[in-house]
Amino acid sequence: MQEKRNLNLSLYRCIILIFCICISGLPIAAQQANLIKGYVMEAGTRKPLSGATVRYKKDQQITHTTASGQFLIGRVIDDSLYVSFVGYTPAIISGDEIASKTPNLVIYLTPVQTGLQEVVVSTGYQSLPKERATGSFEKVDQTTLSRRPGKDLLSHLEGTSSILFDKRNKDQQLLVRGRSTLFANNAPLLVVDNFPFDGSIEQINPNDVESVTLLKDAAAASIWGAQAANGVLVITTRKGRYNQPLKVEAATNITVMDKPDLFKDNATSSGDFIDVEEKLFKEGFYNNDISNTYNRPPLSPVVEILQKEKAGLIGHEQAVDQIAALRQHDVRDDYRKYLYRTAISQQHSVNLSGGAPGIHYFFSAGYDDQQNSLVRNGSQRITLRSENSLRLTKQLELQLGLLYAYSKTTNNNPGPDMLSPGGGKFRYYPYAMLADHNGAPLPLVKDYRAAFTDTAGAGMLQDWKYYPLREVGLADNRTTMQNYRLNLGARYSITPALSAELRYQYERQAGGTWNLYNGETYYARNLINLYSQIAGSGQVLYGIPRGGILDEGASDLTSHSGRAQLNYNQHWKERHQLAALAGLEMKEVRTRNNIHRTYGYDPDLLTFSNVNYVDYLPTYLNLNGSQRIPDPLAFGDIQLRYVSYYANASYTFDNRYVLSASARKDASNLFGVKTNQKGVPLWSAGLRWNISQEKFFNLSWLSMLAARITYGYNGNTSNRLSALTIINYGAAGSNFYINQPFATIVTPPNPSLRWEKTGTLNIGLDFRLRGNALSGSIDYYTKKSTDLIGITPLDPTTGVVNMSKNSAIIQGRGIDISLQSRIIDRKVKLEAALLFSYNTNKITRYLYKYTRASSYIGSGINPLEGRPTDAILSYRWEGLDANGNPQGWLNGSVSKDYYAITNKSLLSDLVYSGRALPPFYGAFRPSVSYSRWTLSANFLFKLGHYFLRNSINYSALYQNWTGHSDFALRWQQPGDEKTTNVPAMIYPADPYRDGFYLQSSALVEKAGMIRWKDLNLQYTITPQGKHSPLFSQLLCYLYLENIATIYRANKYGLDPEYGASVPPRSISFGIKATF
Amino acid sequence: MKYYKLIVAVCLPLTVMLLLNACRKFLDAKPDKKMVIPATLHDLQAMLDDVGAMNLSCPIAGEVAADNYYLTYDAWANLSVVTDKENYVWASDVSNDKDWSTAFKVVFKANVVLETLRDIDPDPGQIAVWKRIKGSALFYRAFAFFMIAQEFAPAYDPATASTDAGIPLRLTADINEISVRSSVEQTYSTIIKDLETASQLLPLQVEYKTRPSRVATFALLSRIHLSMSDYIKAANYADSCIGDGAQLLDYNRLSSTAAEPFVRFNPEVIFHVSANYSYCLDPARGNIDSILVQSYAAGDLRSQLFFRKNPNGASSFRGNYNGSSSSQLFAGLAADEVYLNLAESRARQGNITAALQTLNAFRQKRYTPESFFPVSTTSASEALAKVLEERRKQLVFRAIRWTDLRRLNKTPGTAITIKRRLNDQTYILPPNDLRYVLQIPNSVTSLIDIPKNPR
Repeated sequence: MQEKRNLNLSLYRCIILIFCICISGLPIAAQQANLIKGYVMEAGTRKPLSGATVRYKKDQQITHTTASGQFLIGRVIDDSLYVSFVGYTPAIISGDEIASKTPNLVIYLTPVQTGLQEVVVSTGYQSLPKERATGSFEKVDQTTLSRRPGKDLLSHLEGTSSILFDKRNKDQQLLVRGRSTLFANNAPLLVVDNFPFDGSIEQINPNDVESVTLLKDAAAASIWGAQAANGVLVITTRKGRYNQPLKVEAATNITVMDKPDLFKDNATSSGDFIDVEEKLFKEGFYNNDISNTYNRPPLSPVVEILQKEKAGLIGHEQAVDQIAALRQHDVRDDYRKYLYRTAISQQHSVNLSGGAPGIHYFFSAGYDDQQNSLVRNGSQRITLRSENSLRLTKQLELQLGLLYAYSKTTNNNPGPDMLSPGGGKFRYYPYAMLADHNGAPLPLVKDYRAAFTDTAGAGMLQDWKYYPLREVGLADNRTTMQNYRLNLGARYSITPALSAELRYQYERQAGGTWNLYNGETYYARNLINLYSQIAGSGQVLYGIPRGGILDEGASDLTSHSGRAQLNYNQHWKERHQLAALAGLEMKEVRTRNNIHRTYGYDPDLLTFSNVNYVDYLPTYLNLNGSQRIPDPLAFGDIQLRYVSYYANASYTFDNRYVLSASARKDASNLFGVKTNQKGVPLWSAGLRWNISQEKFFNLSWLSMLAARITYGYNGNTSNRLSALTIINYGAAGSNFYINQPFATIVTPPNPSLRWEKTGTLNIGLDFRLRGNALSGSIDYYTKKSTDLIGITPLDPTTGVVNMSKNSAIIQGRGIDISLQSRIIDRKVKLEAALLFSYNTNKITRYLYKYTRASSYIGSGINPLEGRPTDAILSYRWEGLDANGNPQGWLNGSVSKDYYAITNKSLLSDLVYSGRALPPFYGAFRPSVSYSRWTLSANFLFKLGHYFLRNSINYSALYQNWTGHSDFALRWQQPGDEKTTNVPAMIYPADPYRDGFYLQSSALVEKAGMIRWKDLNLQYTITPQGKHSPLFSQLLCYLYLENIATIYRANKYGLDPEYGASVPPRSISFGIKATF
Repeated sequence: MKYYKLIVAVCLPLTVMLLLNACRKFLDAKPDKKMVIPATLHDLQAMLDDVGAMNLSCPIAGEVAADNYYLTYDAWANLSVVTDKENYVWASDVSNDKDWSTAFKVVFKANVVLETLRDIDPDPGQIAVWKRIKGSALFYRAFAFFMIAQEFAPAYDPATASTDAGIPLRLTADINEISVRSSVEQTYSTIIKDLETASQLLPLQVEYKTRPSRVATFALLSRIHLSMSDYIKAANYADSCIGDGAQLLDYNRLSSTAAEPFVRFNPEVIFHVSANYSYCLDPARGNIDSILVQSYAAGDLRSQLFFRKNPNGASSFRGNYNGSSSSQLFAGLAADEVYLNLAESRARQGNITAALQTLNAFRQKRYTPESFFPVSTTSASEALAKVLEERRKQLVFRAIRWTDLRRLNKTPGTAITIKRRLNDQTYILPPNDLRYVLQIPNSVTSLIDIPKNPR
């Protein structure tokens, strides 16, 4: 023991020396005899309570506990201590009791009610009780997060937070309080524990997460300065606690998901598609392609049959029979049968945590295995984590965190959407067949017409056919990712009030991609054939050697983050409390990557061949002229550096008033800018009034009421800034024709550009009814985003087509309401949580106006002054005429001049319908529990927005094989115009006519919907008494996801969010045991 | 204790100062290794070697509107690019935005190079490189200006050049400068002055045919003066060009059965440029005018080397000096054009012997030895007619025909009326029609106040 103390002491001295360089102050070690020393802890968990008020009943002395729960107070005979803390039942300790327990006075406070423990929110720089926060924080705790199984952490926040998940595109976007930018980054900042997270969020195992705190307004988020305009998500991982007995948790679950419904894609039926092809064939549409002996563009099987018939190679009846057989087929049946399977994913995790007086620890291990719906696609992930804290002396606490994650993703099945026929066709004809009756793979037309690939090379080249099913089996594409993270922290209490903190994080993410196209794959065969020449002697000269082609890539991200921070926490004169921090943060993120290709690769012998990358080589029959052999060789090296200074202070008076302020300056190594222009200062201020703490407050039914108001600025960094001309070097190998390096101009000089910033005013109200029947918060906010960078088209005569300029202002406002209610609290418990958000915005200034009003139509951001950022505009629809032609509106009258409508419409000719993002959204989560059973569900709603549904585009149908089932509803004979809006089919197609119809108000629909997202049934066993079994708690659950859409505002049964790829229903079963 | 506090009191500000200084240096690191602020001759040469931007984006609308080819109705009706469709039938307000912006991008890059060059004080050993870069930048800019002028400004006419609206001459890289149209006179005099300067800076020959040389400057000056009907200067520059090494390719040495009879950078090529892609001119669609195809006499190697019979009976073009089936047409400078410029200029000057000498030297490389016979005549007009006939047959799909049409239309004897037939509809472009000057694109007129071309 003595030895250990000596060791501690010398270590302590060492560290003191290090600390002395930047901090001042002295440890006070005085202990006076007329003082009482004691600790305040939570009953049961023995967690020290920091900031609890300790005072005498009669005497005027008052003090607060420190971070370790300790307090010192002058001894007063015959007076009892009154110890209180928000969320806990106050304790009164009589004078006798004090005397008997001294010197080991520990006061235990019991939480007011289970589930009502003090909510501590984390900003990534500090943790503070919500009762003392002025800003708008939203916390999602572990119980809520773990309602849903699944390996992706962010998706657990859907329906449990006020984040809006915009799922209109494949890559979903997370929006916190709407859009505050036009073209800059839109995503909230992700902070894991203390530092912004640079790696892939996939590497975080949700089982390791303790809570997620969302920083929404300026006061909450401004500590993150120039990166915080889109909100901040602070992810806090699980840790052990001091004095906590060893706890082991094991969890496992399995999820089974149906095959997706492929028939939601609204494709043209095979019969209709063939009818169109027959008509176009008669019109001569294919003549050009049929006679094209340059590129030999792909022709569909029906066209090939018709051409054979025309050429007299087959008889009419034979042709009719062959086509009739195709009419019966639907490729979606094949896709479903051969490309999809039932998806199964498993998650297993185990963790152990515990703590002794001077140490606490947490270890966890997780394994995830996912078999995707697409055959031969899947992923595995292993995560290992350890988090330890060591209190070396009373003043010094050290923290060490380690993380290792490994994941492997295989992507061998591109799925139906990515099967591309090439040659300008976007998708396969609906009667394509992947396999014959016996399941043997069949070829599909790809890149060239079948009549060419049938005989090309006269047997001397490799097979030039494309068998999609065989490709899925042959593919060998995988991505691996290894993530290492090291966290070091030291916190030294210089005085009870002042502490210094040093933190460092090292993160490395090494990724590797491996795409091996072996010699059998179409990719390899096609390239090899393309670069083959057949010499007069009949010998084949290969430009690319036979064998496999290997693309291998590596990416390496390393980041170092360091932080030095001083914390000051003082209570004085019984009523005043000051919490302040100031610090400096430095960070470097370096990403390096490279990719290279090997031709003629043999994975068994590791042999390969050299090829001629320099010269332009002839292609077979000059199909593509002369070309260089493709070489994706590339190197990248990006290094971003940041330096930030920040300070934050909050002053609390009498637990009634809280005043907060923060300031931050960020600077980064932007290129082409002088150092003094690299930074931007931002600030915020806030006030909180705990009304229920006032003496005059005596509403017995309302146990808590507080009001908050904050204002401040957050920023959004941009790398588009540059005061000087910047050029970007390209490698000689990617230059045209000459083997010389080249440089392109990235940005023309733009010295006046500034970073975007958003000012937010937030007014909030927190309340809790007595008995917890209803609690919650309401926040109203207005946002003004200024200096937004817009992309302004320039006179192309300048040589620059467009340029970034600070050109826009967006004003946004909204309401966030969060309510929790305990409706019935007896044997049967009925609880409900409601999240409701309203958000809208308006572009109040935009420097540039599009010349053609029609440019404002369409998805994407088309900024228009006076409208929201996501306005849906469309051409005014005037119905079909008597011949089935769509009619629009131009110059005050009905028009069929589609060219003029497209080019000459004025803004006043367009129809504004509303917004593409829901102004109203949220979730409703009821739960019923009885005895050991709990049943809960989550309903999500998005209301009040619009979308433009898709329909038939004849130009695309003819040219790209992209059809739509509305084809069947088209105008076919006079009178149809009364019942349909789908224009008649015409030949040749008119792209302006198609474009007008597809962007007309005829297709604008209400997008509102309510989904029943999930259902969770839990059974919990908590053995009581001393003869408990092995475990202390056992939890089994059944979880159903994507149950149903219970309301849709549109009458077509369309899903405005997912379109054709609605996630199928899934069912999970899981067990969680605590030992 | 006191000492301790003192040390801290001294150390603390010192540390902060050191730290702040370190931060400043820390932030000076370059974010992306590939990014550079152009400052060295190497940087500038790399900017000019951006072949994709500098050499492969020559305006093409003139060739699309010219009379070398025709489209079937099906091919035309299903064209997906409206600009191509409209250029084919000479719609009066076609907006050729791409031609305009890609050509002016060359001008911008050249201007950035010229401005950066001013700040570089080269070492004595680097003076030649400095001169070469300056000459190159002037050349690229002049070439781009000239090609823009062929589409968007009227043909040079000495009588009206000083009042005809030319093109905006952007001579600085400042993007805030408002574009103003110069006169045709100013346009051509600036181009010529820049090229004359370039010819004194550039080396005679260069390593890569994508880089300008003095020979290329002479070839371009010859083309420009011919287009201005200044036949004396056109002849002089053509003569210098040939004297300095422009050489013809002997078509007898080419294989007519080869998939690609012409290779890129063949010996005839002086400066390589290819034009923007057009769907109309793609060999898969554009059928060569049948009268033109039939005009080649027996033994004329070009009828085999230039054209390919398609299964539908029509001929398509494969005589592309950019490699036969490349989808982008060669639009650069080659010796064949220079020979024809020289022959024509001499014929127009009345120097029949010299004209025929040049013409025959050229023809010898285009016909089989058995069928070759020297053209001889004593009539200047007949000599000119022969030269023009040869010019018509040689410079197919070279982005020269439009310029030639505009020039030839000025003389009633050589004026040409172009007709297009699509199903039952016929489109006609009479000589000297206003549509010979394409309209200023919408992307320009919608943003700045600039006079449009008359309609």
